[in-house]
Amino acid sequence: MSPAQWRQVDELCDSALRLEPAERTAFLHEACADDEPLHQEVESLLAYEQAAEQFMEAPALESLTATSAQQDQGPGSQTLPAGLQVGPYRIVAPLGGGGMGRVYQARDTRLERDVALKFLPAESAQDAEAVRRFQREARAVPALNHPHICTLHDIGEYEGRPFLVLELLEGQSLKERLAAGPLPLGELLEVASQITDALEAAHAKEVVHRDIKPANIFLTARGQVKVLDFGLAKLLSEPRRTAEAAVTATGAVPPGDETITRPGAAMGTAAYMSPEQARGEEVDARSDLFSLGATLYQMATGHLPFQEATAELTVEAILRKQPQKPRDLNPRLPLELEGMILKALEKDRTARYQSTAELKADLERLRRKELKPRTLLVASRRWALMVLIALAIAIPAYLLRGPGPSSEAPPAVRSVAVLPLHNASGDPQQEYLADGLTEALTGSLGRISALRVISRASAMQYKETAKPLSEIARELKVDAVARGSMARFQDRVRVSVQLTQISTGRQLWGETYERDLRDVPAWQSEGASAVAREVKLKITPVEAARLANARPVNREAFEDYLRGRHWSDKRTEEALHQAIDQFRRAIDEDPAYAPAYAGLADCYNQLGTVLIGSQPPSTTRPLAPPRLRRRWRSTASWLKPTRRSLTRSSTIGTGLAPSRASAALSNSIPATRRCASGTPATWSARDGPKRLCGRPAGLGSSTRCRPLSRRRWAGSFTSPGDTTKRSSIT
Amino acid sequence: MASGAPQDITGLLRAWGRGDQAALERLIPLVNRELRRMARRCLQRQGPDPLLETAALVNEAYVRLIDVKQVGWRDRAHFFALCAQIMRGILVDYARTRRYAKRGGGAAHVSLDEALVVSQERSSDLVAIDDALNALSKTDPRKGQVVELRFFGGLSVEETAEVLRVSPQTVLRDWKLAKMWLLRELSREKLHEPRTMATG
Repeated sequence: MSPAQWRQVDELCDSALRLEPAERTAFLHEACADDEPLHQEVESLLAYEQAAEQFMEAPALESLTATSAQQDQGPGSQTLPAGLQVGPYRIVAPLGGGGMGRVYQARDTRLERDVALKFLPAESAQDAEAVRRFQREARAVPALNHPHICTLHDIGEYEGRPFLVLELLEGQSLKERLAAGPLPLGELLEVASQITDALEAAHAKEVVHRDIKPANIFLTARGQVKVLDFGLAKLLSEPRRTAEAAVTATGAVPPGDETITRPGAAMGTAAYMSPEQARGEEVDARSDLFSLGATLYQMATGHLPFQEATAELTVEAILRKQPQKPRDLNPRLPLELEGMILKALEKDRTARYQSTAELKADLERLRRKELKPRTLLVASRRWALMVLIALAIAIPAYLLRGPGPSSEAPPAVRSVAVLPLHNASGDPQQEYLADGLTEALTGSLGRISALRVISRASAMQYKETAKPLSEIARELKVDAVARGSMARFQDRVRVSVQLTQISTGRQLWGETYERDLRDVPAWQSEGASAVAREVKLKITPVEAARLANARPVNREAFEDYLRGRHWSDKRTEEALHQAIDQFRRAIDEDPAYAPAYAGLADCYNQLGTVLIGSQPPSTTRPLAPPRLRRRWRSTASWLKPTRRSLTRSSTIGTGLAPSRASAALSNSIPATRRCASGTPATWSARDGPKRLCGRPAGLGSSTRCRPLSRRRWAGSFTSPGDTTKRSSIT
Repeated sequence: MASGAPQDITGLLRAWGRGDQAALERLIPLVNRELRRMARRCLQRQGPDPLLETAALVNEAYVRLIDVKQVGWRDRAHFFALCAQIMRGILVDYARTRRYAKRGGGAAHVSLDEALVVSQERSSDLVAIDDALNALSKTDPRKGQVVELRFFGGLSVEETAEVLRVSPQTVLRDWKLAKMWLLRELSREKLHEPRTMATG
């Protein structure tokens, strides 16, 4: 083959490799035209793409020095075979890897989830002190639970080699993304904003990343940004100096010279290193901001701010040279962004942004200015840290945007039903959480007046149903259905929701959120105001104010509340007492947590309706505890705690609580009747006074209740198929 | 310090960096001796002993042989490139000997001993890779160099880019295509001739 021919083959292969496999055939067909030998040559090379991925990834010496034991299963030098059990993890396939230890996709057989196992490099694994420090360090990392920080699930050891069990991510690194050139402004701001979220959370816990660079920023296939190797950067890339470097994530790096000259470790990093890092001084949060500045510079211009022929010169430039103005390289950049980047890249850290929050605020301001409000899908990803409120806002916001300029925009959706989230944990104990999250989602959506939301109780009958969505939608008279699943693994909750428009059968929206359970209440408040800002045009000012009003809730209170909801849904006397206990506990934890009062009110209401309504008093009264018997004596006496709780929930909730409370009550009524609907009601007209409260007027004594029939509580009527928010409290 | 005075070697390296080819000729045996000694030590290890990585080995050689304060980055790149070349020689020789020993004289002749358990298969692979790499270098010299630096020299993508004065993207692109090319070559070899004939 002549050099010219080879160049052609080389170029065609390269072009083809950049295409999706599906597009290659057509591309090559056209590119090779009639040159069949050329076509064959290219095709035959491309055939080896997959196989070549792991080929020669370990240098020659390493592949020779593998001992027999390690030839087959040594985690360091040889690829672990698929199916191998490493503790509770079953190896599925190798993922990338390269010089710094290997990474595998694995299955956690206890929790039935996919994870990534990252083995430490052989060198550091031999150093007992390094391993000990590594383990100590790794223990500190789970404190960084954040949607934009790659989660460290666990650490383990296999044949003497420690490994990390990490969240399995699909997508590409920012480094790979940047190979295709600078990012468009919208994407840049989106990614930057998510990185600052992660850094802000870490810095709040006094953890400095120390190695922020595109290779450590991962863009998931769903558009979420994950910062990798938080607090572990040193451990993973520079095993030799683990001893000094890993003691604390905030400690000083060893003198710069070594950091810079060690092969394979620091060279790629030098360009993002802050001046103080290069000088070997102590690093702090502002050092990360410098590195982020360098990363932003590259995202904006496609070039590094400091890039010289050698790492040594690069470091020299970091210490002394002013970077070229980003707008010289990309004139389309907003002036503000250039200002932010240059401020982050100030040599003197006191002249830089002093906190991540400052940079984040600037980015946010620019984002609002630059991005049109229609970029709602991006907005929902941006705020992916929120499970509930984000869903609650994003869905209606999506639904409510009227037909846009594009003719293919679907007609706006005016009504929606939230089907019970499927509990994918495989653990019946988590049912309460699935129900609780469903309720929270329904309740939050219910606050937007332009949207009709089917009450949770009505939607509950479709729990685990096999009915087609269209049928459910017809029965509930809604335009769209939101459904999804949740899973809880230890303290993490993962919720994924899809919104399907019935008329077109199209999935309008879908998102997956994963967060620490502890943070669920925090997401609500954190995200509420931000999302409200994003979509303020679509939501009335009052509603926006309500959302902005959302307050953080104590985690225990939140969990107790969810458990209480779960119990109260069972609508048996015993369960209701359990629920009352849970709600009380929630109130003890957080005396200002309105939903707990609403739940309490609901329970007392139920005690009056279900228990009195479902069986003749002659049967139930002797069995009831004295407390309850007293309540039966007077309707007013059981109404009192209900009303007290409701009043309390309304007064402390300012806008949030009444709707919650009303949701609680309106939910309770059809559910009550559902209880009765399974078995014909047996009580007679003699129990008249109680009927007032327990049964809608006009229903005969043996009528089976339809789930969406008239409902009534304390004299207020609502119409069939009615919504959460329209039922009122009197 | 096992071999020549660091000052001499450093001087030679710098002279070579300035274009003095004679310096290179004097430099090679010195570096070769040290690397060979280290590689041997490394290859003779057994069991759960540390697996010394090529990158670490080459770096150790660098620190041992060169007075780091006196050389610039470019000299260092030169040094690594040189090491990669030397390592290739050492390892392929070693693999070839082993393969011959295994095939010809049986286990008794294995000089590096029972202590070292190296798969014969792997040794053969290394020899075959070396042959295929020679062929690749004829077709596309830069890709050949990328493979030599990365695979035999243990250099990172960035370092390889430094040595070859190209962008890391180019190195990655070359690396990927070169691996595909080599693998195809090796597969052909397996198809067309018996394995025992693969010696180059």
